[in-house]
Amino acid sequence: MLVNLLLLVILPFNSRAEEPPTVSEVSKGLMCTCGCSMVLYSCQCGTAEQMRGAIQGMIDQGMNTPAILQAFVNRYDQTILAAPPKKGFNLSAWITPFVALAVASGLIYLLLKRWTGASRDQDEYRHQVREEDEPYLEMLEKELQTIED
Amino acid sequence: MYRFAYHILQLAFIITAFTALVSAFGFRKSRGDFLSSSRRGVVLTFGLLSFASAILVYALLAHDFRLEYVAGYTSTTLPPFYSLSAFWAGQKGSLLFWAWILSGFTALVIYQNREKNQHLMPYVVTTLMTIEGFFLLLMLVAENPFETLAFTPADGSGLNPLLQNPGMVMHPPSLYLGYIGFSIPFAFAVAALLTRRLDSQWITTTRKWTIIAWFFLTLGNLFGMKWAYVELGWGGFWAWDPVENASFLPWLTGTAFLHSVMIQERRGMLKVWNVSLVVITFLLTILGTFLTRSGIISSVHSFGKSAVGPFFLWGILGTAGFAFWLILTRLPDLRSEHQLDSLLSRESSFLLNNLLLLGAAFAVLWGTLFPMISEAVTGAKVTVGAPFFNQVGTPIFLALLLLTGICPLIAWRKATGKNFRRNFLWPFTLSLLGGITLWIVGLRDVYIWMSFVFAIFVLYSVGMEFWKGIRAKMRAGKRAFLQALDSLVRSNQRRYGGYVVHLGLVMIFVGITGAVGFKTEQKIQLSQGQSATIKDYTIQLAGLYTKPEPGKVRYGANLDVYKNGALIARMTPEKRIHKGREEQPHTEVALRQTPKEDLYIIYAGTNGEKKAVFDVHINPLTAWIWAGGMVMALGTFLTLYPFRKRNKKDTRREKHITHTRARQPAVTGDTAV
Repeated sequence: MLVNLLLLVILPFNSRAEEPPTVSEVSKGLMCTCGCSMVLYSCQCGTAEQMRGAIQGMIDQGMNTPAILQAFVNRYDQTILAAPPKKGFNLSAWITPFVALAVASGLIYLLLKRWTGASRDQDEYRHQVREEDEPYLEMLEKELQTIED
Repeated sequence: MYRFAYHILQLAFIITAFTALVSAFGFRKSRGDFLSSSRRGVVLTFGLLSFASAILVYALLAHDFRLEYVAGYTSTTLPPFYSLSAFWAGQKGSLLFWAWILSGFTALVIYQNREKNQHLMPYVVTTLMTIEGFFLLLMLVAENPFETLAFTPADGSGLNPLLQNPGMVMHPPSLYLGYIGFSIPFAFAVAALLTRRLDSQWITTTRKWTIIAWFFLTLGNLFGMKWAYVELGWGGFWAWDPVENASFLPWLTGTAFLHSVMIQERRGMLKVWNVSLVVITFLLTILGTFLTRSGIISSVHSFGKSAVGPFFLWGILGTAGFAFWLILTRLPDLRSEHQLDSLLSRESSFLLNNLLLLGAAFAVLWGTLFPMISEAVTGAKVTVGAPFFNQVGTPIFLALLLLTGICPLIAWRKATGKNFRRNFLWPFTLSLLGGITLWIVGLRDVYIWMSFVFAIFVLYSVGMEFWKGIRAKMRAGKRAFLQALDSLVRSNQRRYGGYVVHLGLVMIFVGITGAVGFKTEQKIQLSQGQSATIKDYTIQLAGLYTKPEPGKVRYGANLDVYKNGALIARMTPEKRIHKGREEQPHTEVALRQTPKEDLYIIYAGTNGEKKAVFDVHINPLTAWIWAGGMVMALGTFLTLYPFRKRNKKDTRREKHITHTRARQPAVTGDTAV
């Protein structure tokens, strides 16, 4: 399940063919520098307009999305990126939730197995008791038969 | 007057502290007079805080700028509607608002339990009054809402134009009602732990409080989304802002709690899990408040740096330490009364539901706090924004959506594989057919495809549950369809109300998928009389206008919108420049909503060629989000409304049913109606 979830995280990127980027796409990967704490795509201020203009200029020069993002990182720093890069310590941001889910899934599975195992043990015990009662049930039947006769 | 109001807060703090101590002491020493005194203390606290709140509201409505808070958040031109909403717009006012609501809730809890739960109520009162005292202390030492200015300005700063929206009146109070509402089950859980009365009584008592708190959190989040959509002018409704995340976190864990308590009520299981979950939910409500108020995280929502941050941090740590110490020392009393009969059971599916909800909460919390973690570990700052949360959260939320459809197909205690496959067959088949159809018509995005397919699955699964019940009622009582539906819902409000809530959730998923997956955007530049076409809309600029008003100037455009040659709307997007905030023009979006799609137009101003520039968005299915919220509200209403008046006989009967179900042998096969 962990591998499947990780693949689903990676998949949206890998499934798209190389196409010229759009300002909208690139601006979703950057933060506005006006201090609003919003992704560039969402901010409507003058600073955001200028940044989007700069992105359009880079697209017109033939730059792709990773190159444009790197250009902004070089100019500002990596806090300009709207998400942590998937390398080094920052990779832990991406995989920790899925690792935690996998560990929790395993623990819950073990707990459920233990609970259902205990429940089966109880069922077996009840069955055993019934088997052990059978000779006495037969004796009771005979006694009752005698009384009725 | 305002010095007097501050003294009222001081008196309220003293009475709160007294009440908290006396309640616990009276219970331990079996002193009925102390317990009576504590109940009166609760009512008196509510009275005092109501008085203090009334003074602040009066000052806001009267624009009394002697008060720093009034001068900071209102102005002479601010309409009364928004002057009132300034009560909770700022740090100080919102603290008083929180304290007032909490005191009212505590008084209501006292009243509701005047003849029951006498073994729990003293510690419930102590817990709630301790929380109350915390908020009063914050106001007394750090954020006094009645602080006066050395001089009285002629006018105030006014309310941020972004906050001047009807959603502003609804969004924060709804969230606060949700946050504060979760204090009640938390207090009962603490009382149950302290008294070692760890059966399901505390859960049954607080069930409606939990649902109502969850409902207000749901509403609060939806109001916030709608407010962002119509006010912020970027065509979206959720930005994964840290404060947005902070309101989402307790909703996720609260939803998990709502589901897992059903297992404890039915089977006496998951006791440790449930007390832990309600503690976590309460802590997350305080964490959210901490993030908004401490200034440690930058956000469009945050109040800014404040002295209350350390208080909240220590409050969270202290509460967490105490609560989990209580749980650890009570572990023997929290043993499950029964075992799980089968892996294939509704109990297991609820556990999986909890796992995914808590997983989603962890992912959101991790992403929200990661910038601080990264800086602490590496010394380098990073930003964690929407791309992270969308990529990490989407697969988890899709799995939750699927599970929403699977759970109703599985019986309590033990479902046989044969019956599960039989129940699964039609929903699976129909959703698969739907998926194939979507693939054929060209839908290739994996996530969007999964979202629609799972939505079909859930809709059919829930629909089937309703149909089976209605059919049985129609046959049994020879009723018509609507009568059978009415009878079905009344006979099991919780279950069928819950299904309606799930339907609302599906609608929200569909709306989000449509709005995100099929959005069309285009920037257009128009001179007067000129038109542009986007998809099947033709937009023509009829003219621009400038309207000065008290406190602001409105710059707008009259746009005629045509579809298939016919005029369908006159839309007027605007930019507004508010007095004192000239460097921050405020956008008023023009919005035309239909069930199929929204036409959303932002006026971006004029360019060098003196043409008006507009950002035009076409957002499919967005209206389904708001409609889904209303369906969720309907579902919540159905679970709560007292269709049948409860009497003592009903209460005894319900207790008997709860005990009997726990002792019954496993029921296999179809879920019982």
